[in-house]
Amino acid sequence: MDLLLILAVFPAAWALLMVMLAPTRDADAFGTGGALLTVAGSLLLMSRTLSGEIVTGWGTHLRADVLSSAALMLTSCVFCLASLYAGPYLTASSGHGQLPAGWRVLYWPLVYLFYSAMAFTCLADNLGILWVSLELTTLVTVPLICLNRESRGLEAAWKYFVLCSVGIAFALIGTIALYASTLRLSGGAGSSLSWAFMLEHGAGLDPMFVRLAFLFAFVGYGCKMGLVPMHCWLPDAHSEAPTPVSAMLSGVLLNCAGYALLRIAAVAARAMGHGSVQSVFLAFGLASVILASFFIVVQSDLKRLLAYSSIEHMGIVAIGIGLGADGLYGALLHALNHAMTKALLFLSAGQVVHWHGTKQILRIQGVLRSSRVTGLALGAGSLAIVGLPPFGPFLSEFLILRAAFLSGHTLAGILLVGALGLTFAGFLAHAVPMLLGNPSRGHEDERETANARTVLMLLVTIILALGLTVPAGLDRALKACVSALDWS
Amino acid sequence: MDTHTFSRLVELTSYSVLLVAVAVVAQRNLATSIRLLRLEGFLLAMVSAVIGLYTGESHLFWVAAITFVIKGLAIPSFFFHVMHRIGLPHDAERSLTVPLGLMLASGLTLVAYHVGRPLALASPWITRDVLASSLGTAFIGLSLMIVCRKALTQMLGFLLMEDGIFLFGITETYGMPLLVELGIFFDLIVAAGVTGILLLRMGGDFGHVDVDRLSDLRG
Amino acid sequence: MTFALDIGFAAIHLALVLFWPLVLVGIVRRVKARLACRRGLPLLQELTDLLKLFRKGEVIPDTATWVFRLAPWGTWAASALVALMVPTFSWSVPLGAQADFILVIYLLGSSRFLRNLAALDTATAFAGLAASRESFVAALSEPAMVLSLWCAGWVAGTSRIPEMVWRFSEKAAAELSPVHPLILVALVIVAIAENARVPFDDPTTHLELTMIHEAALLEYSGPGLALMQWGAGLHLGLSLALIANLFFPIGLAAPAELGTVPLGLFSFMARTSVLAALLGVLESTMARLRFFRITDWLALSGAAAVLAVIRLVTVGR
Repeated sequence: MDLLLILAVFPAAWALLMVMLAPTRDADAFGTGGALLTVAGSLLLMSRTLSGEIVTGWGTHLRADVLSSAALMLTSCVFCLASLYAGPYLTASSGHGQLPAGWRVLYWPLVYLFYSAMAFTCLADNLGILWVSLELTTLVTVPLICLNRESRGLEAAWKYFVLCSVGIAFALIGTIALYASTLRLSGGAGSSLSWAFMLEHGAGLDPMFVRLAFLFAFVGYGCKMGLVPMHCWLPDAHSEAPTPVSAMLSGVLLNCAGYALLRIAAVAARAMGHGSVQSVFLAFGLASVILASFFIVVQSDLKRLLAYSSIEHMGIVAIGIGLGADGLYGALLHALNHAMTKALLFLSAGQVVHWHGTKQILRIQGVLRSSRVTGLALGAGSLAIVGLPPFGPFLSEFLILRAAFLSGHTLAGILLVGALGLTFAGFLAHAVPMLLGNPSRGHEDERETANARTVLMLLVTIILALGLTVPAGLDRALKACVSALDWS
Repeated sequence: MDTHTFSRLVELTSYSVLLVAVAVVAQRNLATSIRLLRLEGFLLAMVSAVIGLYTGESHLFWVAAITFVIKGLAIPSFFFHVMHRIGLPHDAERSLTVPLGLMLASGLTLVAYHVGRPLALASPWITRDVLASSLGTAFIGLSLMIVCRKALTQMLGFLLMEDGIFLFGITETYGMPLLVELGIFFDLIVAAGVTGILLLRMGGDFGHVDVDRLSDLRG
Repeated sequence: MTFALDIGFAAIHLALVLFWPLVLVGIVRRVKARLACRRGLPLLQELTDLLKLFRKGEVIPDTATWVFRLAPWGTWAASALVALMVPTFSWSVPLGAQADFILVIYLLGSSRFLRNLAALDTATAFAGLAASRESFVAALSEPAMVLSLWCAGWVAGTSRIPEMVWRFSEKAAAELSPVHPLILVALVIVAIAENARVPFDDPTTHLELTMIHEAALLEYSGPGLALMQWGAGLHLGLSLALIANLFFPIGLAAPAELGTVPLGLFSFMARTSVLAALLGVLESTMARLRFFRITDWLALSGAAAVLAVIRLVTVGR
């Protein structure tokens, strides 16, 4: 049994099944059920890789170590939660006329293809396949973003397509250059696009080639990850997409791009030394955090606010990666925390936007009074995302800051603290008036669906738990990831 | 085929690819630009076939055939189809003035020469000209995508960029593994389809495909 | 003996360079006529026209000065001088030692300068317009021409045109530098622009407002007009010969070898005729550009030349 291939292809097959059977009434049950299956699959994989086993599949094109399976697991969890949320959401929005009925049929297959592409990204050993699948995530999400036949969605989709394709084209150049550098390996080691092979022979690769390849790949995947200055598409796309899609874009797609970048960076670090690779991460990460914090302060649109916050947190992840082994540990943990928190925020904000019919922060107030659960979720998410204890992001941000000061990157640490402070003030200044106060007329007593309530409470529990402790299994997995990448 | 003739042939063809890319920048007529794109596809198919002949790797012939069909025939026809459906006049589109665009293209080629330098120095097989013309083509496509704020021109730039990267891959590595090439072609087809749909919807919803006039999303 | 041979070669060259262009003009016209389903004029019509014009009297405007009288001779002489430097059937030419590409370009430039002066001299409105337009085109096309010939010179390792042709003809096709296509594109566009052909200018137009080249000759008649037209013909012949010999140097006659002359003559005539026919096809299939679109095409030729320069400077020959 080829576990990896099944894990990656199953969602696409599921999508096909849904297109062929076209179960309009049971589509949501179908969609949610499939999502639960993907979680089960990724758990299975995790249980095998956690002990250090390397699983390969589809010839040698797929390969999973603990980092791959962790990425896949994160993806499937957020995917599953977003799918749980999506069913009632779709019903409600087609009732409102925001989504044309015909498009609802398209939602599920597209989302499953999206997940399948992300699974291929996480499990690919072949960097070419990794590129192909990451590009495919862009192409599949373009129609998802303009699903709500609004002109703004169309505009966002076009910009998203243009900028991400440009960015990812750079990554293809980088991939080709890496492949070319293995062709020139001395001793006839053979050529390969496999990252495992490159990591093994990393020291023998030509540093000139690898430097060029790394820079191209960094610009490319960094664009997909939303790092400044390649971030321009992100606020548009994430704010115009339907809510569950926003949650997935911000929660996991950015992480997938970061995963791809990390794989290439590990190879590059072998060939050209850790120092120069890490300084690139550090510089781009700092730029992202600082610029995003300013945009957060002046933002007036709720979903764009969240999108800029994603840029900021991807910047924090990049900074963590740039700080060596301890920082990488924090960065991986932060990626997890951010994914959960941002999913929570997007889903609860989606609820609020749906009720108020506007994304303007100034026209939303009293959410806590109008709905206890959503208000609580939005409040907890806001507190978590700005880095307050006892939530998960606090812990990981603290770890990264600690790594910064301990490794002697004092300036970076200070800048990061400053930007975090600015974000803290800016974000809460937007969030608090939305949460407190009296709801505007007609919004006094809003109700979310049972699914939404479950998902939101589940997410709140997760980020709270992650803030109180790092479970032993998670700790072991993260340490295994760091050592698998040979990051120092 | 002896090595010398081979490398000269590849050099000349890739230079022609670059030249065609420059000519696309110098074109205000959209229909002519698409025809040039078709020519680009044929040239690329030729390069892969020539490299296949030289190295004797049979999968390059497949790549050549697929390139011929997809880049030479299918995508330009699709592009024409979209253009007619939107009802664009042939000389519509293009916000960059031609001399400025050409200056940009020359500058980008210079950059490509310098970027390609380490690769060419390290490479025993491939000359700097081929590298520079492939990267130059990619950069020119890229600049069209970024600088031109017209949707169809951006799509044109996207395809040019793909062409340049394809040339880069095929000459730098003598062909990626077939599976990866197939994946890239698959992405290209999907991308063309998706942009086509977007363009049609933009044409339908807005009555224009001018990205500059899409400015609802700011800040 | 060799001296006599040299003289012979020079004589053939001279005859070829002075009269063959008239046939080329005829070929272009014939091709255009055929494509338009007309029978077309005889190939030697241009020669007949010139002979007729030479026999006619000349009308000179009262306001014209000596510049007006001098210009036809001056332009013709400059073109003819260049004709002695550009290779035709063989790469050896009478003025081979002087045939530096910069000299060639500036002789052509001075011939244009004289023509423009004469156009201004009569103070007619259309001629002045024409002079200004021609200068505009020339100002854009000349840099491209200088750069592309400079690149050709760099590749060949010489600045003299006959030597370039010789070096290129010695090399196998596989030896050609990749800048060749670039220079070719640049020079073809420049040649079309400088000879005032479609799409830059329409040599057969009857509307003075849109004319570039022809309007400058409006005031000329008789022998003056004949010289001007002959000069223009020479220019076209030169351009075609330059392109044919720089880029397709096949079957050139070796100097002082009589046996190779017939082949050289045949090859030269064939190559230039093909180019002339292609020009005719181009003129029939393209529409004339709006005046301000001319810059686009000239910018393309400039860009091609600049790309060639970039390539040569960064990589070398």
